[in-house]
Formats: sequence, C-alpha cells, structure tokens
Amino acid sequence: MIALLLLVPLLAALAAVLLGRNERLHGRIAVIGAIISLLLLPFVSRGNFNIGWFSIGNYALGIGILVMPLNMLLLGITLLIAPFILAYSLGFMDIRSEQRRFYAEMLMFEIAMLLFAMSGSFITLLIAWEFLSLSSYLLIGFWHWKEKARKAARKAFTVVLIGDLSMLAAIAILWNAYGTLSFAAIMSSIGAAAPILLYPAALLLIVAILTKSAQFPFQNWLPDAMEGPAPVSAFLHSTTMVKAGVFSAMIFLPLFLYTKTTSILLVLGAVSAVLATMNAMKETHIKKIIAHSTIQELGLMLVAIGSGAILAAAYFFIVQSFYKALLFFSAGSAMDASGSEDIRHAPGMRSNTALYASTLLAVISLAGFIPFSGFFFNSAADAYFSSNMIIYSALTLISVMTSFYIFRWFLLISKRPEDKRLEVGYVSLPKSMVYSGVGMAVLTVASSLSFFSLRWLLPQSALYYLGNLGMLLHQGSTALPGISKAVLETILATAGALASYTAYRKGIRAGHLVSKVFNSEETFSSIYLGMASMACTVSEGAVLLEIYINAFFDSFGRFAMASGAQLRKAAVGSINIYAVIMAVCILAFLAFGYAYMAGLI
Amino acid sequence: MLSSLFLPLIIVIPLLSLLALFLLGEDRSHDVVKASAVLVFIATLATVFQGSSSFILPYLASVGISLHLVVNSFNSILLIMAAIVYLAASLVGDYFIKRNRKMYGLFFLLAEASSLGVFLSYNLFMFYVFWEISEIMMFFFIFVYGGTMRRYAAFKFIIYSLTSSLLLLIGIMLIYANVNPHTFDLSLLMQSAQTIQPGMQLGISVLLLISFMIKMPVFPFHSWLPDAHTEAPTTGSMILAGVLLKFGGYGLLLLLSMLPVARHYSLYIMAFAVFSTVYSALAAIKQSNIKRAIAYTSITDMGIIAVGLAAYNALGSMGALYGMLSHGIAISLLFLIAGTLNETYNTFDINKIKGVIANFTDMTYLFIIGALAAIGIPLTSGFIGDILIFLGSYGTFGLIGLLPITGILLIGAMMLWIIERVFVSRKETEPYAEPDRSVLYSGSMLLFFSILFGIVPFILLGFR
Repeated sequence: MIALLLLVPLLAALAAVLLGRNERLHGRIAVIGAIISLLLLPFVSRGNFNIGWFSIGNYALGIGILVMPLNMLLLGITLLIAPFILAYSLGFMDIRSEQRRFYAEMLMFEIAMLLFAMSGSFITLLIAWEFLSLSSYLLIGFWHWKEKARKAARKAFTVVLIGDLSMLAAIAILWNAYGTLSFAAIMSSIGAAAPILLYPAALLLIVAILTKSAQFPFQNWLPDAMEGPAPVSAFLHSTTMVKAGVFSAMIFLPLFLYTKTTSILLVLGAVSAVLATMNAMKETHIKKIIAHSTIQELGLMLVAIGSGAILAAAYFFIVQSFYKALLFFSAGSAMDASGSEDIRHAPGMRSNTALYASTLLAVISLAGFIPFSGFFFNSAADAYFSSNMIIYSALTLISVMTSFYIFRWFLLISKRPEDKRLEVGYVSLPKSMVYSGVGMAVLTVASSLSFFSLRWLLPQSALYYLGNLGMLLHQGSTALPGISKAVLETILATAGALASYTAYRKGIRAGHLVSKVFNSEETFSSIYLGMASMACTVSEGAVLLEIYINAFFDSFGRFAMASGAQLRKAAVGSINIYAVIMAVCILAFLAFGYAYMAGLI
Repeated sequence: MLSSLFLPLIIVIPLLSLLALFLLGEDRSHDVVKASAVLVFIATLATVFQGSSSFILPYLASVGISLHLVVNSFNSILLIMAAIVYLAASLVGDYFIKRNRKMYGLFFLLAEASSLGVFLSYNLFMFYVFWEISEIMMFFFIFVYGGTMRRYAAFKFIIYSLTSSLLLLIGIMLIYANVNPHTFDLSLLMQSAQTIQPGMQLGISVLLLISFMIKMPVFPFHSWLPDAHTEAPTTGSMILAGVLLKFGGYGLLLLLSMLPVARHYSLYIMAFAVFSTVYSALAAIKQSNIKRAIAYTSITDMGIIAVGLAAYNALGSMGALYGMLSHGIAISLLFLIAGTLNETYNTFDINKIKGVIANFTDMTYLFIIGALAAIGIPLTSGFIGDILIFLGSYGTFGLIGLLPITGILLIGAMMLWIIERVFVSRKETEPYAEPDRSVLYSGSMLLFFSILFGIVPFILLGFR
C-alpha cells in the first residue's frame, strides 16, 4: 500500500507526459492522481520495513521505510496540500505553455517529498533528499528563458548540493560508527558510538538541514527561488523541500542531543529568524516577502527543536504549511491579476471577495490572532521560553514585527487602485485559482484546531526511538493558554497590525528605514557571488598551473628532441670523425682494462 | 561448461569481424563494427550472468604465458561497462567518422578485443599485451581522426602511454623474476606474490603505481588527458574515457590485492587521488572548451575511484568498480553530446553555443541527465558508486577520506554552469546541421543503462 502511494503519482506523471496534446488534460490527470494517492493514505499500515536493495559481501544496504505518527503527519500534509496546489496550477499555468513538463515535474516533486516523509533509513532519506533538490532545480528554472530564473535555479541547486554532499559524508560516518543506516537502529542505540566520532556527522547533518531549510548562512537561495511559478513556490514553501530540513532535524534530534549540538540549531535558527524578519519588512517583491517569512518561520521551528520543544515545533510545522500555501496562492493571484511583481503596483484585491477573504484569513493566521495558527505557536513557544529572557523577548519582538510586515503586504495589495483595470484583473481571475484558495482557507482553519488534538496526532510513540533521551525533551505545554496569555498575544499582534495600518495609511515607508540600516540580502548575495568568483579565480590559477605542468612535461620531449638534434651532428658521415671517436673509445677501454688489472679500481 | 565457450568469444568475435571487414567494402565497415559490438555485448552479458568461469589456452607454457581468461565478480562489472561503451560508440560511428572507414573499423575492432582482453585476462603477460594493443589503437584514433592539433595530442598520448606501459612491463617482469615458481598467472600470484621480499615489493609497487597513475590519470601525470580528449574524435573520446582509463583503476585493484606492501602505502595513493580530485575539478571550472571541461571532470571522477580503491575494503573496492562502470557510461554520454554539439554548431566553445534547448531538446535532456549521473544523483549508477566509495574510504582513512566530496561539489557546480550557459539559455546561435538519429539512440541507450544500474544495482552486486 505504501508503494502505491508513490506509484499513483508516478503513473499520473507518466500519463500526463504521454497522453494527448490537449493542454488541459495534463493538469487534470495530475490532480486526479494526487487525489487518488490522498485517498489511499488511510489504508497505509504502520511499521518499519526494510526492503533489500543490494549487498556487498556481508554488508547489506536496504531501502528503509518507516511509517510512524510523525511520518504519517508529514505524508498527510503533503498529500492534502498537493491536489490544491495542482488545482491552482490549472488556472495559473493555463496561459503558459509546456504543461506536460510542468505537471510531470510537480508530481516528481511530490513523490520525492512522499519518499522523504516515509524514509526509515539514511539511504532512502538521501535519495529523497537529492531528488527534492533536483526537482526544485527543474521547477525553479521552469521558465528557463528568463535569465533570472536560470540563475536562481542554479544558485538553489548549487547551495543545496552542499547540503546533499554533507549528508553523504555524514552517512559515511554514521555507517562506520553503527554498521547500519536504519533510523530506528541508530537513534535507539545512539550511545553505542563515542560522541567525538559523531560530532563531525552532527555538524554535517546540520549543514544539510540549514541548506535545505534555507537557514543562516545558506538562506539566500530561497528568496531568489521566487523566480519560479507561484504554484511551485507554494509547494516548495508549504510542504516540500524547505520543510524537509526541519523535519529531519526532528528525526535526528537524538543525535544532536547526544553530541550536544542542539544549541547550534537554536542559535542559527534564531539568527535566521531575525534576519528574515528584517528582510521581510523592507522587501517589495510580492512573493519574496512571504519567502522571507518562511525563512523566519523555519528559523523559529529550529529554535523550538533546538531547545527540545518538539511538540511546539511539530504543531507549527503542521499549521504553517496550510496558511503558507494559501499566502502563495494569493500572491500568485495578485501577480497574475496585476502583471506586476512589485507590491506597490498590485492593489485591488478587495474587488474579488473570495480571494480577499481567504487571503485575510491567511494573514491573521500568520500574524497570530486568537484563535488562529500563529497564536497557538506563539503561546506554546512562550511557555517553553518564559525562563530564557533573551529568546523570549526576541520571540515577542519577532511576533510584533511579523504582524507588521504581513499587514503591510496585505494592506498594500488590497488597497483601492487608481487604475480600474487592476480590479478587472482581480475579478477575472480563473475560478480554479480562487477556489483552491478558498479550499486551502478551510484547511487553514481546520489545521488551527489541530492544536487541541496534537496529543492524539502525535502520541509519545511519535519519536519512539528517542529512548531515554526522550526524557530530556519538554513534553508538556500543549495545555490551553491562560486568558492573560491570549490577551497578551492578541494585543501584540494587533499592535503590529495597527502600526502597519497607520504607517501605510500615512504613507510612511518603514521598509525604507529598515533597508537603510540593514541590507542582509545583498550582503549574502554578494557572499555567494564572492564564493563563486573565488572558485573561478582559483580555477583560473589552476588553468595557468596546467599550462606550466604541461610545459614541464613537454620539456622532456624538447630535451630529447634537442639532444637528438645535437647528436645528429655527430653522425655526418665523415670517416675522419668516426675514426677519432673509435680511437678514443678503444683507448678508454684499454685504460679501463689496465686499471682493472692493476687493481686500481 | 557452456560459459567457458562464451568466454573466449568476447575476444574472438571482434577478431573474426576483422575478416568480414576486409571482405566487405568500405561502405559496409560501420555495419560490421556495429554487428560485432552487438554480438560482443550479448556474449559479455551471457558470460557475466552465467557466473564465474575461466578458460585457459596454453601459449608458451614453458615460461608461464597462456591465454588465461577469467570472469569473476570484480571484472564482470568492468566487462559490462566496456561492452556498453563500445556498443554506444559503434552506433554513432556513421555520424562521426566519415573518412577512412575501413581503417577505423580495424582500429575499433582491435581496440575492442584488446580492452576486453585486459579486463578478462588473468595472465599478467597477456594483460600487458592487450593493454599495449589498445593504447596503440587509441593513438591511431587520435592521430588519424582527430582535430586540428591531433599530431601533438597523439604523440603526447603515446609517449605518456608508453612510459606507463614500460613501467608496467618492468613491474610485471620483476614480479615474474621474484616469485617462486616463476609465473605470470594471477591465480597463482595472488598467493605467491605475497612472499616477495618487502623491499622488492615496494619497488614493484612504486613502478606499477606510477604506471597506473599515468593511466587513470592522477595528478601530476594527467596532462596528456585533456589534450587527448580535446583532439580525439568523439567515438575515440568515448572509448578513451569510458574504457581505457579504467585499465589504471583495474590495475590498481590487482596491485593492491596482490602485494601486501602496497596496501601499507595506500595513504599516499589516497593523498595523490584526493589532491587530483579537487585540483582537476577546479581546473575544469574555467575551461572554455566543453570537451576539455568534461575531460577534467573525468580526472575528478577517476580520483574519487582511486580513493575507493586505496581504501581497500569490501565497500571501497566494490564502490570503485561500480564507480568505474557509472563513470564510463556517464562520461561517454557527455562526450557524445559534446561531439554532437561540435557537429551541429561547429565549435566546442562554451561561450559560442547558446540555447541548445530551443533546437535540440533531446540533446539537452541527455546532457543534463548525463551531468547529473556524473555527479551521482540517486537512481543513476553514480549514486551507488559514490556512496559505496565513501562508506569504504571513511572506514579506512577517517575524515580525510571524505575530502573528495568537495570535488563532486565543484564539478556539480561547473556542470550546472555549463547547462545554464550552453543548453537552457536564450537562443542566440543557430546550428549548422541537424544531429543524426543515431546520437539519440546511442545516448538513450547509455542513459538507460545508467539508470538501470542505479535502480537495480543488485543485478551486478549481490542481493541478500
């Protein structure tokens, strides 16, 4: 059954590629495939399977499949969101060509994420992990005739390749430390190897996580990746790709706890969150604002994981998917309707009520109003960090600023436009785009309620392999927040929203203020470019060195040729010269013979 | 018993095809080559999947020289690789070689027979003979069918190769002279060579090691390779990178399993290989000739394979063999596409070809997947090779054994850059000609095998 889950989208992808020239058919097949595989989910049986793949002598490497509550959760989210995203693409991609490539790649993306979600060994994980990189590369560069898209795709793949190869290195270390690659076997007997051996593995895994989840210092590829089509961004930011990093941080938590590297996750997550929040406040690209917001949220998840607040992280992990997909739907719709990527040039969303309402819902979920998603995370996280004043105040500040930038985004695109054509653009958006947004809004509300059922969704056995280390985790704190907490959180969110409202009503460009003092995106972009150009410079040096090495080895040939040319002069055919040489040789031989006889040598 | 009949067929078929080549005219020579390559491929598959077998034809039995052919779990992987690469190269012969076709057939068939002979023969003397023949055939490939600088490249190639094979010959002779009883037979040498005095073992190891380092190639003996590849005809490049470089790797494996002293110095082999990996990947980035860039990635991949071999444990050695298989397939595909670009755009210059995807979508996909296979993306055979090599090399060398991964990163970045500039960019240059269908067939076949061995590796490796 678990194989069917992957097989159905695969068949759908094949069908989409092979069937017909009808451009609408490809998309529909993809949606149907995604829905069928969602319907199969309840029939999937739980357990830990190992399918043999190949073996060398006594060593066997297998495809491990693990279906546990945590995996089911990720499978469920991915399968639930995929049909909506594909349905949204029906409207979004309709005007553009190459439907079959698009849907095949989207389904490949989904398959990679499903495989990732059910992976039970490092081999499976690495396969899924690299396939995620590959399919995101193909999708980000989908519009390859745009130079920016090409460059963004290459940047994304290059940065993520660092993580892929770090993962490969980490796997080599873990294999030699434990003799197996199964998660259950490694994580349950984590103490079998010395921490000093595992420390490099933990660091390499952290690098892999940071690249995949676009965290400091590798965060720069994600905003650039916005060059891809909006459904791709929605997929990439909600369930696939970036979530893979955070999810594997949860899986590897025992290793990080054992090697005491969780604080690295915590610090880097916090730094990313702060940087991303600042970037989101100054950004003007419709999708990039939400992209920065994703980096911020993933950073917060890593903070939560790094401090052991695994339930808060898991909860945020669930709810973030839904409203983030919805926000990207809205952003894509706004870009489609206005034909502009700039937030200041795409007003008029209010004219499309369904779109407006669903976007508002996503915005207040993100901002953290009671009783929506963000609120529960904030209160859950606060409960963990109430003892740590630094993180607590940082989180509070971030939640106010989040509310500020997302309302800025929302207020600007829902402003009444001066140009009436923009309103027409919004009204005449394809139905599939608007209604998949509405469907996603329903899911967003439903997911907010998952807070109350988290204990049921994620029982203790979710991380059953944690063993004794599980004791270190903070298990509580899914209780309902108190009244005072609720009031405080809502006040904070409202304060951010109001600040944003006043600022943009009065035309104060807070973003400009931020961008004056703070320019991290450019800085990191230039770091990436600097690395690339450094590699090129070193490469030029190597090319030059090649010439010298070449010349060095050629010089042997030259020497042979030159000495041959000189020696040839001796063989001119003159009997006199030959006679002299012969005489000299005979004399030398006689002299040698005499010396030998006389015992001189 | 049947299998031991198939075994010599692998070498005999190309030699018999030579007769057909001389009887049929110039026009049919490519057909003879194709038919022969297909038959060799079938014979190889039949032999390999019947399991281990051997065949002995005494030749100069008094001095221990005989045609001793063996198929075991090590060389069967390389045999399949060679058969696939020769088949792929034969398919595109019509397209790339348009003059002196009969002579080309002669070179091709002799090269095929001798390179399969290198992997098959279990007698060091015949090993050397086959090695030498295939080198000379490659010299003719470059010298007769090469590009504008072919004279320089061909002579450079043959001088390096002769140095390599002379060192090999001296090494083999020293082994022969120092074992008791004197023999060239590997099945006896695997035990008796261990009794050679350690000092002599070290001397032999150094000689053979330099020979194999030239052949693989490993820094600093690599400078023949970029020139040879740049000037060689496309099919010649496919055979050179796909098959001939692997002689060095296979030889290294034999050396390490034969002489225990060589294993003590595996750290030095590893150090050279690691440096070679990173260095050649760096040198590849800024090349403007696409074929030269691919040639440098070939050095990188062979360096990684050398690390796996130097690790000398079950995983490392098997990973290196599998890595050679996948590298042979992937690199042939890349050279094939690069050669096709030259036929259609009349240049190898990366900066002068733009927007291939607009004209030749198939070529673009083949190159992209070939490039991904070269860096070992899952579900291509490179993934299996890479993961086994690094599992093994960490086991022997610790963290240093993981350094070649940076080489993979660099060639990955370089390949993506080439894809971005040449293949998926906006169309600016028009091709002069259409590629032949045979390129598509040959490329798809290579791609098929790369993915097949990536998804079902257990058909070549064990399954438990």
